[in-house]
Amino acid sequence: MSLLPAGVSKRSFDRALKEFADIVGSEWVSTQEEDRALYVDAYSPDSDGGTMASGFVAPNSTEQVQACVRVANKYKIPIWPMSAGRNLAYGGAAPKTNDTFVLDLKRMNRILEVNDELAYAVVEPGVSFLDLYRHLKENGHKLWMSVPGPGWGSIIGNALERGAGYGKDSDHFATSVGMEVVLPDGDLLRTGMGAMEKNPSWHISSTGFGPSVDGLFSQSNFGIVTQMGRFLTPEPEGVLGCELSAEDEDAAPLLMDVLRPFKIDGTISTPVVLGNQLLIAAYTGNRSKWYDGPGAIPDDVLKDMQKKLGIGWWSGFFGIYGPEEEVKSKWKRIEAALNKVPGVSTESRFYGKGEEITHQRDSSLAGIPHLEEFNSLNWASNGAHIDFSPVVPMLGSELEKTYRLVKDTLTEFGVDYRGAIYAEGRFFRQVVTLIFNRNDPEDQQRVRNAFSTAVNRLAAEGYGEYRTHLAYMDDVAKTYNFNDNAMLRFHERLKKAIDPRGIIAPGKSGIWGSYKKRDV
Amino acid sequence: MKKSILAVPFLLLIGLVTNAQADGAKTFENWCEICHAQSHNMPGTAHIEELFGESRKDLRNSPFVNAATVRQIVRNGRGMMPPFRRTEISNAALDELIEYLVAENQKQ
Repeated sequence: MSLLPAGVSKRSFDRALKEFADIVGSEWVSTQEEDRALYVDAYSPDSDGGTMASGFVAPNSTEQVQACVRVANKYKIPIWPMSAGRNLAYGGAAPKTNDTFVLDLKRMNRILEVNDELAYAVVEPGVSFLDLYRHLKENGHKLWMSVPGPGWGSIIGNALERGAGYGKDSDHFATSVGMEVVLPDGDLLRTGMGAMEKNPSWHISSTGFGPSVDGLFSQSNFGIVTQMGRFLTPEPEGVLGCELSAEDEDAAPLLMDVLRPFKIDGTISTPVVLGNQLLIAAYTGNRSKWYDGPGAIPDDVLKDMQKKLGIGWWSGFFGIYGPEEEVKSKWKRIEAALNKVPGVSTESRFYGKGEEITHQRDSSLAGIPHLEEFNSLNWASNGAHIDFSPVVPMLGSELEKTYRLVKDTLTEFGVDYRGAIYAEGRFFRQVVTLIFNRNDPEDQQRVRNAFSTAVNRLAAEGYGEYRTHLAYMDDVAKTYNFNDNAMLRFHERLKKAIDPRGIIAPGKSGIWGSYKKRDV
Repeated sequence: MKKSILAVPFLLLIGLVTNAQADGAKTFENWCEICHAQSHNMPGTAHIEELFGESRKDLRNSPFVNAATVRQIVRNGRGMMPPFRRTEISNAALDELIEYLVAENQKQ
């Protein structure tokens, strides 16, 4: 297979390799297949494993990133930046096209600042949630992070993909402030207040002056973020881990309506997470232990599963931060409201400042990163997953409508509904996880068909995905269809203007710019 | 029972582990423990237990651990485990990790 991008000669390609090596050292650039294989999507839903990069180059500083971008521009070599490359379920580290070099930023793993008084950290792209957690612990900072499911992920990568977490600052992009960005021509930009030399508010206020551009570098191919500020939460006096369980399938809409006011007015500190029984059952090992028949698991088997596991159709959890008396008083009011929903039971656990967190779910509320959610992949042999996640108003009626649409669609394709509602107050992300055997082409095809159909049916009703897998970026971009895809057209105009050679991440979020596909 | 990484400096002092093994122990702690520790609900540990049984679930006390297998799985992944890149675990760090795991298994 040729590694050469369209219009690039072997001679130019070799020169680019040599210049990359001069910048980063020969150890950190390679086109060997054994190295390229490390950047494929480990959870690819494609039976051929998806795309494989033409090589990788791994700079260790902003200056090296700038130099690499200039070389890429000079020789027209497309580059795909990745921070930790653990964006599993969304494509991992893989680029959209085979002729793209991965720009691996994992070596840029410095924690540049932790500010105790103003509660933020500044990190490079290679810093994972686990890295920052260890750093905070080891250095005695009384600060918590909001962590997502995968603790090995990059803080910057996750925020730029608009990931969400379980803590107070759960909207990771909205609570990340002040970026340093290498532009497609190698120029260097600082956003917000950082646009002014020596400005002390760079990572605490995104105000700046003139048009705000931070969003242009999220889910985009307009630049490469080399450092960013991230808000942290001062360790509270205590945290109350709150749990609820609801027996019946039709309880979920009622729960949304009951919990919404408590989330909007700040009584509840963290997102409200509500998952169906398969969210928990998938942690118990292989699916065949529960059901080995055709199609999706029938409702009567799900009910039986609930009884055996001692769980509800729906299980929910969230956290309340504060002194013991205060959080328990808040919980009492919430419990009283929840008790009006038939078949609901509740429980809670309080941890004072510095007390060891003993329950796994509560550790997420307290900003302790882990990988325990990956246990769910034991549900399938060679388990992998892709997710789709429509954004929906936090209203019971809206949950009812979208839940039925998604469940019915998946059942049509013989795929189980395994969903988690991450409710932020005014809206929720309905994260639907499709677990499949990555060595079984039929299973992959079934999941892909179900995925596409569900996403298109949701879009036809006006519900959009907040993020998607590499393989679906063009499709999802097209679903944002107001005024003949005005948004995508605007993105394309920007891309052509600031990256005229189409160097950075061609195809990211459906934006291709001037990139030309190789004729093969 | 979980083995303490803290014991390594002491053992280094009395000459029972090599520098490479000590560095390998750090790599294990930094990269592997989040999935392969012996505490409850670890995906890697649970997966190995399901495949090979309870007695083999600790990578530091497991009959199937050898240099070739560790190298192969770290660089190629297995099941839900993705491959680890050189920018995460360098070739030198992988050699040290292997030395540590093999030595730990030989102690059993």
